[in-house]
Amino acid sequence: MTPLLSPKIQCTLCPNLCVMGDYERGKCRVRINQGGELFSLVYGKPCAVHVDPMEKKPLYHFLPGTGILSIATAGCLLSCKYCQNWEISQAWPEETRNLDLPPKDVVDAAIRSGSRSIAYTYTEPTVFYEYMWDTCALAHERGLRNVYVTCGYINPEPLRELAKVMDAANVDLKGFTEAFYLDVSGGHLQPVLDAILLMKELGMHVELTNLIVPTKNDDPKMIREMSQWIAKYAGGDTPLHFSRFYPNYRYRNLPPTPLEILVQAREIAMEEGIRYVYVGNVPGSDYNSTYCPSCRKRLIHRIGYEVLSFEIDPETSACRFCGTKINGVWK
Amino acid sequence: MNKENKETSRREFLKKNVFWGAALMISGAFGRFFPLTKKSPGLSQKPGRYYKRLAG
Repeated sequence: MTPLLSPKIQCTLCPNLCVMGDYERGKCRVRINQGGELFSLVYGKPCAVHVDPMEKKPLYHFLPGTGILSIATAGCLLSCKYCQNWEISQAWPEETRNLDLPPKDVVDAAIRSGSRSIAYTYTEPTVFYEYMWDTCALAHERGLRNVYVTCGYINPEPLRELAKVMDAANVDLKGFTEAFYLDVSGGHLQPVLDAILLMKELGMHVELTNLIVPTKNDDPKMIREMSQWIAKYAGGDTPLHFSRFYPNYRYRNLPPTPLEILVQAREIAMEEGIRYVYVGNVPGSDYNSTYCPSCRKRLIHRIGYEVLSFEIDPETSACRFCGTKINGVWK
Repeated sequence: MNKENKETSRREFLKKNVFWGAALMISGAFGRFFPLTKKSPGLSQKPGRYYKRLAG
């Protein structure tokens, strides 16, 4: 006999650990309890599909200058007040215009478009974990790479499973205090730090992004502590991107990040031993390019998302001028 | 079409359609709160991973 009320379930995919009654959804809006079973409402239903340059993710040390097919479904695990894609990340899947694109069609589209990899991005890809995993596996079979653009809010067990089919990640390290995470994103800091280290341990290529919001996370002391942690635990060769904030969503009352703050953050990070530090969302900046940490020569000249020159030997990952090994995936 | 004719046709249009317009709005609101199905049309129903059933 069917019980009158189906059991509650707890989603263990991300640290939110949502408890859902019958027909209730998690915070992500796209995972639902139906009769005591968990279902994904967005498998094969992306609301955004584009071919982007790899530099837009941003990944500067992973197949530079190549195209990457990028997909997203509605939903997110966090609720960042400055979200730059809030129209889809903070939407219910019923509110977005979704395509019908099963994993095989995503891979076909990537190959047709000449992309060498597929990005799971724009919103938080962890919410469409099953769709992402199946697409990643198919992509590998067809010789494509996979890129996870994430807030790093995922539990260790699913991350371990995902790392089997994922090649690279850009993790958005939003700030470096618990108070900032709670106030601005509705999440916690520690699980993100744990996920970053686990990704490195599992062999994924990892780059970090920190979007600097004026008056919220632009404190030089916090940036220094974050840089110290990165240098000590993730490693000084982990590329770090300081991204410029533009007013959006609930922070329309704040100005865009002054360029001086981004440059100062870059200097702090380099003082703390991070070797590849970039300034993002500032087209034309010299700090978009990659420089050799030994001979200081420019190895990858970028203007915006364009790669104008490339001076790294893809076979040896070494600087063509002095032979220093440069962390990254170059071929 | 002169102003008078335009006014008349608008009134006729409203007379003809106001009933169906109101009916549509009422049925829409009713359906929003008392859906015939809890399943969302157009979305997937793919079994998800990583969850546990809670006792009680």
